[in-house]
Amino acid sequence: MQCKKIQEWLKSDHLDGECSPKEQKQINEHLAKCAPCRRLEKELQAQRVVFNQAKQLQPPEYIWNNIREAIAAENLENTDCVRSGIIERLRELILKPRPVFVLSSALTTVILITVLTSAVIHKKQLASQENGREILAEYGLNGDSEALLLGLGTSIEEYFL
Amino acid sequence: MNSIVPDVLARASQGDMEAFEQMYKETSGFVYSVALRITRNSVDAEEVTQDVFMKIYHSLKDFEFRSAFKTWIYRITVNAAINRYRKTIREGKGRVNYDNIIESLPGGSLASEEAVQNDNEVRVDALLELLSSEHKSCLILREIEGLSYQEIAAALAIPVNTVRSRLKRAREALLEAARKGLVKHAM
Repeated sequence: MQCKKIQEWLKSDHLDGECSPKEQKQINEHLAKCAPCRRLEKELQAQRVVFNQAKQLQPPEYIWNNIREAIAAENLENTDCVRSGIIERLRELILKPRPVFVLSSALTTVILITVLTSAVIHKKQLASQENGREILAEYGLNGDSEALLLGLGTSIEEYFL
Repeated sequence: MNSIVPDVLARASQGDMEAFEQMYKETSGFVYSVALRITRNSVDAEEVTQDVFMKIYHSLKDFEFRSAFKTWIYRITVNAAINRYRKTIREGKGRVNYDNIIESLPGGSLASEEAVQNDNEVRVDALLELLSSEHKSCLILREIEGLSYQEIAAALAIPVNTVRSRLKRAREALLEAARKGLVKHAM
């Protein structure tokens, strides 16, 4: 077995315990008779010791407090959004003008105005007729228009008639 | 990283803050540790940790429990840390903050033990600084966090052979630096 292949295994699978039993046997046999590869293995093991002695580091206490506060602030914001969203929807439902409502309101208004106007006009007409009768009665006439014309005739009226 | 009980995950995904806190306690050491070793800056590591847990909180509802939760955390942590590291490099901000790294270590009972530990941390940091962010994240997950090739491949979304190759190259780079004396007392 060539040193190159063994050294590749030494730098990865052998050091990390990922070799198959067959590969491990080949490596051990090679190391027994090859001084440069044995030296490399020792260097790699020494390198590993430095890393293995490194301990897991712990975050400062305030990191959890920051995270908890950030989550609480987010939850509060979401609640406010939901609440204001409901109010907004209700307001929209009630106050927002919609085409059907606008059309029906306009039609109702037009109909109301028409009815009111016609009622006022009818009332005025009635009042006018009543007034006419009163005038005729004042002149001693009984609504006979021909007699009225003849009886009230002036030279100018006669000219035009 | 300790394994999370599925019940805790399920409750956390329903917005139970106690369950979420329990999950944070189980996983924050891994997240912060990996973030600090990749970014090499305590301020960046703290921000990455907060970002990762906010992302977890938002995504838990949609998390498919078929996939491994740990793998998912590995992935978002490494991605967030590498992105922050690259951003900091682009912006040309200061890098190493040894004091904060040393302060983050678990307290030792003896001053001499602490000194040895602190010295080792400085060496680890000096070694990792020699590597690209891809090689560095592979080596951290393997050597410090103890993930298998399969777990690293799943976490980084790369083939197992790429994991193998990155680890080999990272170790070659560190050996080369040590031989050239680039890292004093590194090994």
